[in-house]
Amino acid sequence: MNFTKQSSLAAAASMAVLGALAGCNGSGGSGGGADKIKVGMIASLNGELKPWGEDSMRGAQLAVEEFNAAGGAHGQQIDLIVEDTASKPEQGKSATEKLVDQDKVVAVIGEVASGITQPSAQVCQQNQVPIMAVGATRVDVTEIGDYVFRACFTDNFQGAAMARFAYDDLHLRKVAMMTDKSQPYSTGLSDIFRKAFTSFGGQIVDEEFYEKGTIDFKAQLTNIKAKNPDGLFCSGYFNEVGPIARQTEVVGLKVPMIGGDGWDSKELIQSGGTGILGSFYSNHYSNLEDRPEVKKFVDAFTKKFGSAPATAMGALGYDATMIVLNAIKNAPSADRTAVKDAIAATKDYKGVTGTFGMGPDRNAEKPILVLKVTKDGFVPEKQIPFFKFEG
Amino acid sequence: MNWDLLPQQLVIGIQLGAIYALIALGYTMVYGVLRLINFAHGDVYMVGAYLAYYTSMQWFNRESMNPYVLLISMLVVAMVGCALLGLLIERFAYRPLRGAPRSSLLITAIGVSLLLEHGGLLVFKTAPPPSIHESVNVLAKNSLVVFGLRIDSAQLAVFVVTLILMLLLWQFVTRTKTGRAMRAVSHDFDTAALMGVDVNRIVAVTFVIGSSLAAAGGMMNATALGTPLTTFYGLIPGVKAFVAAVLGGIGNIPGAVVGGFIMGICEVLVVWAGYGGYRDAVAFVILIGILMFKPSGLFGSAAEKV
Amino acid sequence: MTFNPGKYWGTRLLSLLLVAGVVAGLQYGILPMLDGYDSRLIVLSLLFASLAVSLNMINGITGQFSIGHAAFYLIGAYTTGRLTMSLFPQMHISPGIWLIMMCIVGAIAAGIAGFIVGLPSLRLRGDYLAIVTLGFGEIARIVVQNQDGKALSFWGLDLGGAFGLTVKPQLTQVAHAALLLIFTIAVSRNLLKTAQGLSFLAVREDEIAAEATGVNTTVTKITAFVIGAALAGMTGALFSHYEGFISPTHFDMNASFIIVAMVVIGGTGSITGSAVAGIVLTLLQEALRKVQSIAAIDLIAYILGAIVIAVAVSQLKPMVRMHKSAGLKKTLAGFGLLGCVGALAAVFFLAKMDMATVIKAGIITLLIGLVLALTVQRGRKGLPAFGLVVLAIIADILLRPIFAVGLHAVPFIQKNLGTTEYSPSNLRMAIFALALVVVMLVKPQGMFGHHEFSWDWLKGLFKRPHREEEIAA
Repeated sequence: MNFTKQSSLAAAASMAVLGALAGCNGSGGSGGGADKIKVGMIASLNGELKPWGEDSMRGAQLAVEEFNAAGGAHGQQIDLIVEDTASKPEQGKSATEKLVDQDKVVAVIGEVASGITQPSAQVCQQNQVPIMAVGATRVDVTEIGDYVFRACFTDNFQGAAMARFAYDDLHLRKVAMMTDKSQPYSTGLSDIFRKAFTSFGGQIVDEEFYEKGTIDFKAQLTNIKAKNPDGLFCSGYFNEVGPIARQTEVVGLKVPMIGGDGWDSKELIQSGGTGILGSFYSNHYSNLEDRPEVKKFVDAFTKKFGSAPATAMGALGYDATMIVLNAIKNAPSADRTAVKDAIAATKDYKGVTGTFGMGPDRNAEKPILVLKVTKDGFVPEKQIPFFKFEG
Repeated sequence: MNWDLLPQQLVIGIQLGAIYALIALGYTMVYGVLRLINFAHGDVYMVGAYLAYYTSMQWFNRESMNPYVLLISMLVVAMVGCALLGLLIERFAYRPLRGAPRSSLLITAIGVSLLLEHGGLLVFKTAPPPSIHESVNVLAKNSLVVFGLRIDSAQLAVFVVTLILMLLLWQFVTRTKTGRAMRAVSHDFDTAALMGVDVNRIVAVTFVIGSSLAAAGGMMNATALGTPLTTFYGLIPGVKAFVAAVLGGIGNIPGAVVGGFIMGICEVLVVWAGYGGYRDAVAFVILIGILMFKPSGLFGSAAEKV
Repeated sequence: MTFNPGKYWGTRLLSLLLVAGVVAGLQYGILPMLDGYDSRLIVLSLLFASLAVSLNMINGITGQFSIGHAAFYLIGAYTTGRLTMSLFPQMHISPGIWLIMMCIVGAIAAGIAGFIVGLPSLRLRGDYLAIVTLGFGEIARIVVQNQDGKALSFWGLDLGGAFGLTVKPQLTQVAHAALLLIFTIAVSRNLLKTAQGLSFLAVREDEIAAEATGVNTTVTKITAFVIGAALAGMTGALFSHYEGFISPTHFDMNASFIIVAMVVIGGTGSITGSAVAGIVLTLLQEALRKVQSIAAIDLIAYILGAIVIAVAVSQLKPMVRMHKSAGLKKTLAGFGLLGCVGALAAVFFLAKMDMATVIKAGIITLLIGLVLALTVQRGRKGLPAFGLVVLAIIADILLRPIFAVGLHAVPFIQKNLGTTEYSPSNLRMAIFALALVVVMLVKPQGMFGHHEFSWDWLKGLFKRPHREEEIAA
């Protein structure tokens, strides 16, 4: 019993400190005031998606800062309220409910993952609040309703574009696939790639599966090698693609690798080793592009946060926010339905991730950029203009 | 199912098993003395990988340093750092609960694990895997071919180091006085204390050894397999190693090793059969199957008295 | 004690009326005043409380150690979600009845799974059983994850795979969740009041002795698993029809762990404790959204201050014990009351915050102090503990700036952390984890231990605690 009391008092003291911490800082700067237009953002600031979520938040913060400096909308400044989703769908939904019901935001921006955007978008649709997804490439997300938009391309386009690139530019005919069964993004992209590639006349010789957190892929790669493919499509995230690339060398599988925007992270090169060099993946843009929008964005981002955005979510977060802010400005008044109509009417927005507008199905119709992985970074290889592919 | 690939897949499975075995050792030792499933073990493994990363990429100059010296210093820094971490966790999270219900201890372990994963995000950023001098990387990506079977040379090194560490541990536990005290504590905590064994010291030593083994595993896997580091790096390997420890009979050192190998081989066979999506589930199915027939694992002692 | 039928049935009738009143009040009185976010928090906390109470049936009352409860929750949610998606539009059944049917279906499906998982519990003990349940949870999640109607799914079953399953229409209301929690509590509690119920407790306390006295341990253990699982399945059914979208990530290992944490923190075996902890932990995750950003150096200063205080307090404690009768105790109690004012003033002057914040800080301080005083030590003894807490807060507020200045003086820290700010969102899960550890260190037996809430207990709080020694033992 003795130990309980002693530690209980000691722990009580530390708990009290925690309490003081929460208390002292409680509602310090929730301010804003009634004369600001509130825009909400949901982002994964905790958990596995933190690198992407944090980038998307920073991009949005940058956009709001620039927009406010330029005078805001309707004579008012914009107040960005960021809520954490902890990389979990149910917390994403809670965060959205909070933004919509309590903060009374005009529009919601986010999430980077389709699985979290889905429930959040349901909330927004029910409450008639426009939501602009940042990185949800899954096709069915915007089918929820007319209040759901996205600033990124869809997997339908990404998968088809990469299939076209593999078939036409790399002249691949027999491709094997590696799919992360635990990531909806990966399974969705693999499906489209398979459909598109076979419809162009290619052949998928093997599809192997893994789960996130797997560290050893030699078993899958050994199976694939026995099928003699001439290319390998990896639809997963860089955490697993890096080791896959490194281990292709160990099992002696020497074929070009291709993938989607989940590859986009500077860690990929070092974790993939020499196995990843010469591979191609599709992305929304590249920090190295010399379009003026990109240069301006990368400079401003670096100045504000100390380093260039690590993932494309920085630029997508910026573009998503800018489209929403411009829509608020263009709408006759800053109410939710007017903003929704203004977002839907977006045409020829000159953004960091390309010049694009909102299509009839509320998806951004924008080109895709194929990047080549080299020792010194990701070099733009080819831009593929938007085309329609129905999966 | 391509039968020609079977021998090759088995080799891969054995290499994978060595990784699980090394982490499982820490689980099994801590369980032996404290009867605690130390969920934070996988996160200590993560910290070990990060320490190796900082050693190779930030603290030391990897371009000018002899790669083998660098490798060894990475190993040493990771092991020492994690030994300290293990001590801290034991002292402040587990020791105050000595004698408390075991479920409370388990929740504390889960809490510590979550704290290292989420709190770690404040300290550790997403990082590339630790890497050493270019020339060694060339060695690391090569593979030896023996009788037509490819053996990953980096993982062969991991395998050898694992075996050495395991033998050292076995010697320590069976030959030294501290080792004997450890076995005594694991056999009967209270009686050992009554017999004059300094129980707190033994538990601390166990945590030091277990954590440094996890760190060694983290350092070697991250360097050899190339997974980028996040604070969730230890989650899945931790769970799998835990299953391996239970499979072999938790608390039993050779059991953990055998369990690790069984896990590795089974996983690889599932992939070989074309059901990669069920890889993790099958590991648990096998575990449940074995426990149905051997309720205390393959090498575990018969069910303890209530 | 003699049986008094009047009192017995009176209490029951009163409870029933109370339940009806509470649920009706919640649905028609309170709900219209709340917005979607608040009502969502209510529903989620009620559902998680039901889960905790249902797991308490297995872990707390019967003493089996299951850490894969999310599996039953998942089975309930997916079975009913899939059925609703394919059958509800064609069946012309009123939504209320359909929801009840789905609850029953979810309960049956999860109950069968509970039976299957319960079987190993006949042979396995303690941690081995724990790992089997954990494994079952993972197997269930992975199997669902692979059911996307494509390559790896069984019989082409489509549950949405890793992405998830949209469930329409969303039928669950706040009242349903409230009723479920009450139902869950009623089942657990009334079971314990029967003669069979005692056998559950007997199995928990000593399985061999229970068997020796004629308890059929096999039946008891399996029954516990089936009931616990069925209740979790019902919760799953309500959850899927509330959330409208379910995915395997809703039911991962972390979800299981959080449910176990609720049971243990509430006090293993205490139905009240599980329910309260379920509500508190669910709300805590959301409440942590309100924590404001903090500079890294300040955070370290706080932690250093906390360590100093923890050491100081642990030294103070023997003094409190020595002066058992009066003296220091009274001084500390005085501190407890006066200290709040002092804390407010200190916060006000040191942090230069506006009045509203100070009042909020004061209220939070007071509440935490009170809760701690009540839970850490019962009765009058709580007041000195409360005094210590207030002392600690004041001391920390005084110490923090000193540490902060000191830390700023170190060039290495200044260079690396000088401008780093931790936003609340980054800290949220870390604080949550820390809270788990701290609560366990403070109360290893959980908030309620084996005790239950009862009116007598509440009355006892206000009485002079002459039974103190008895409770402590």
